[in-house]
Amino acid sequence: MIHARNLTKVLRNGAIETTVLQNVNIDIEQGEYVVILGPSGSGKTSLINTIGLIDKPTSGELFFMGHEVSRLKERQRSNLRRGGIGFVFQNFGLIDELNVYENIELPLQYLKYSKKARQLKVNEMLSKFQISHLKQYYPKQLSALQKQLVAIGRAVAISPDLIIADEPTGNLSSASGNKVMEVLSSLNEEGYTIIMATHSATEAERGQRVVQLFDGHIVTENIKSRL
Amino acid sequence: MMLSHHIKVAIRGIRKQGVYALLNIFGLSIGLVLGLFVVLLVRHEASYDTSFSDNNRIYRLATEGVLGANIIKSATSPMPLANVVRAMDEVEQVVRFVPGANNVVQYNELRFNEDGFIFGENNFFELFDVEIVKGSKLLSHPRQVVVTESVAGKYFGDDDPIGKFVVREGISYEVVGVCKDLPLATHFTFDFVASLNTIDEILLKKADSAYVENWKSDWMYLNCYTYLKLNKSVKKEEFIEKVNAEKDMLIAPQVEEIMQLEQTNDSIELEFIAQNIKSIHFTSHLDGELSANSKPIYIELFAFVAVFILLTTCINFMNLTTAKLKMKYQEVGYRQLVGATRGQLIAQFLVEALVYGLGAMFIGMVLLELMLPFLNNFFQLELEFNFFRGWVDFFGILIVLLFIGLLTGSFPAFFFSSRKPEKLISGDYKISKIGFIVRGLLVTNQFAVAMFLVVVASAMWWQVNFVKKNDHGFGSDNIIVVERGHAVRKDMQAFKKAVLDVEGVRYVGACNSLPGDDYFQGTFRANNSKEGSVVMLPMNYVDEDYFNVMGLRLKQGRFLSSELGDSIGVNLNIAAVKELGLSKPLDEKIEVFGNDKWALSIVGLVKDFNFESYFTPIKPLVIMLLSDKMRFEYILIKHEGTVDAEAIKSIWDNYSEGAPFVYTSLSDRLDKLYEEDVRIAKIMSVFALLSLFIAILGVVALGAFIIEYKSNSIVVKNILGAPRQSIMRQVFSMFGVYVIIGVLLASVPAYWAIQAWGNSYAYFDFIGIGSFVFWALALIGLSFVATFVQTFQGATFRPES
Repeated sequence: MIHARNLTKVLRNGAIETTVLQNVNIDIEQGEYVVILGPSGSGKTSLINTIGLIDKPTSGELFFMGHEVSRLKERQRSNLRRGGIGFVFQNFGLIDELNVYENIELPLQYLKYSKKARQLKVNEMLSKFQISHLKQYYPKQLSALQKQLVAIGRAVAISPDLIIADEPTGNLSSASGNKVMEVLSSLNEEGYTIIMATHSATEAERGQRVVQLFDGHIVTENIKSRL
Repeated sequence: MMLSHHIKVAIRGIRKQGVYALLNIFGLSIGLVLGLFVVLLVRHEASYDTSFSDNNRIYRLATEGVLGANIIKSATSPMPLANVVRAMDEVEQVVRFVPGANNVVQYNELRFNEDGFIFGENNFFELFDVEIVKGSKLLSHPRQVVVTESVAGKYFGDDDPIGKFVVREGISYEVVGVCKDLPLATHFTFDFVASLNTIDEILLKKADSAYVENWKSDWMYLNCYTYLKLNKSVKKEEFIEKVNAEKDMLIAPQVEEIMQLEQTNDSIELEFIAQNIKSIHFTSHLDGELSANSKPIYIELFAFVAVFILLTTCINFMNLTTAKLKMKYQEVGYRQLVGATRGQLIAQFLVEALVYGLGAMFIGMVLLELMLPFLNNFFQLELEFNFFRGWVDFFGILIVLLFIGLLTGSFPAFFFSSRKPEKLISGDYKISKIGFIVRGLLVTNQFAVAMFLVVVASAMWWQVNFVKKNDHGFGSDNIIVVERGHAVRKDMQAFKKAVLDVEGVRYVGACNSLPGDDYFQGTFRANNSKEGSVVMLPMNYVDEDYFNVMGLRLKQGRFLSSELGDSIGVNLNIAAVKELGLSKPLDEKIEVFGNDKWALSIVGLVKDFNFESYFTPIKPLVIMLLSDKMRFEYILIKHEGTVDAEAIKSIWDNYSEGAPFVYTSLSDRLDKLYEEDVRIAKIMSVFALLSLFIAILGVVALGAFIIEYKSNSIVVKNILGAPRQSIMRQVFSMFGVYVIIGVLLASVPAYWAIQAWGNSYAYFDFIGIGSFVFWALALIGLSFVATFVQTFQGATFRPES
């Protein structure tokens, strides 16, 4: 599904160049749950943004569902992203002006689903994540866990090919973090492909495969699940 | 379309932002109020005389020409002209009318001074088709009159006015019809229209029949207003050429006769021009206009200022919307990642701007409707709130709204939607230097407008004050002016004596003209020079106490006095001496043109005084004594301290044979001369205040933006314990330069504008550069205060930064 070859990302700031990713090779297949593990500054977010088609690499090749995407323009990448990738963020990324129902509905609106289809889909998500009772609430009225559940519901609502979660437990207590991890695991069981970035080795255990990143290099690749 | 979604988000956003959003909307609605107000004003001005049917075919014939050394440009025309044009095929209808003097109209016990009494031709109401609500519109016989509804109500109450008689100057007129009141926007008004041929009868009471005949056939006597309706497809230019050709043939014999009689080679030329009735209010500006014409420069100025203020409010809106970047940035980023396309984001921002615009428009409309009575009162206008009259208005407002929405929304829309999502969500954004400079220049712009307006407005007040306080050459304080003074002329001496006995009264005098009136023009020739050319000089008829009342100053000789037999003596002002070229004026005589037996001896010279207004330089003036039988306009009463007007009124009632006692003070009359300019100064002041408000709002927006922009360094400084002043200094120094540039830039155009405005005055006092400096410092100070308040209010101490 995703094949990266020699991905390199260099950030330029005036005269200073920082290499955040160096010769990264990674293959992710349909239905996998891949965890990218590394301390802060190791390039997790850059890698995940590149794979998630938010950002583009400085050099190297990237195949997404069979397309070479490393040289695409923002507009083309955004077209691939739309409906193809669901994002979960550390700080939830909910829209403050929209309530729970509307937040989940938002991507469906952008993708021009009919009203009826939206209703069906949103209600499905609400009950799936057991947050139906919160649907009239606004983000400000929710606990952190509830917010992240809404965010996951929003990411899943469009039935994406890939779910990308960047430190999804970063702002949560450990109990809430566990709950989110369970939810992601069960989504993977349902067949969703998931890429998650984290700095917690314990959380990394949840994945089928762990890719360890340090200073932009892949250090080890735990392939326990493949064995 | 996700229209409902966008609207919902916009409204919730407004709720969430609270005061900040309200400030934003309010700023926009202030701009709209001004814009709408100017639209009403322009609309009112442009609607003049459109209430008459076929108004594009109705013309007024006015006269231009040369008489001796005098150039004539008059709205009036001679009586015989109508006969010429009436015979022409191009003309559908001709109407002449002659306005009557201010006079008492009486019905039974009711008496009122009426200055809206005009004499019109039979078919008056066919050309000026005001709706007739009762009776006939034809004035077929002498002594008939059509009155307006409000006059009918005033005199007859609920009774049927038709067939009733009103009396004016001993002639009773039968009311034959009642018409609706004229709309406000007409270049002339009337309350009574009496049949034109009644004038013969009035004149016959005072003069002989030769005079009456002459009145109607003299081409040199510009005594009436002539209006005509051309047939369709007739070209005005060709028509007027034809009129002038015919007129030349008719007028030539009379000119020749005059030339021979007067033994003069002075040129006498008359030319007629046709003015479309709709253009009169805006562009005519001739002598003898029936009401004050509009000054297009003001309309242009207002329109310009309004558009500018509207634009600056839109700019503020953009600044305020994009100032709260951090939150917006992330929101836009998340939306992009959730699947929003650029178009959808643009749509969102445009809809948001439209929602704001709609809110502002609504508030603006309500504000304007609520404020209009006050504005009307304050500016002495008579505007009506007449939006929503039809589809044109509706769509007009819709288009304005869309335009404002697009204008205010487009910048944030394109600004945000073009950003890359990874930058947006990571908070790793930079505003380019250019972006900052552009915002700074917008503030420059706003301060330039504010500076321009405050300086111009204060220069106007300065001049208004100068005009009121400066020495006019006479004392205008404590003078009561009683109108239609000739009502007491039979027992003038007894009346004066009685009034002098009232406590506080010092002098009682009489005169025919006061500042603001059109002075009689007499034609004179200096006696000494045989070849001396004829000059037309303004004249005033006064009684001997006039000089004391007005406190005029003598230069040479003595004031006129009836005891010394000055019935053929005159007083001249210094300007007249110069005009006539007299070297030893007291030894010389001046001659009334056309009658060399009527030589007047000059008994005294008065110092120049502003017998007209500050708009015109002091002209030559000939002052003559009133003879016993002569009509005159005013009784002047000079008093000390307060005086009992009731006491004077009761004396008046004993002598005036029932004429009403109508009085004002001379200083009020003078104030009226400058009323228009005071009004403009007021409007400018309001504009200046509003633009100041908007400029301050602009500083608030830019300040908010800078604080966002520099939030990182500000937070760090804060943590490091930097004093508030240093943070304020940093914020202020970032935009202070833009404010200063704006203030400086405006100074030159403001100076030009003040000079241009001052040009309408013959006597103008420039406010001085000091006021420029003062206002510049004040504006810079204000912008600093705005920063101070904003930074102080904790913008720097937000914990989430």
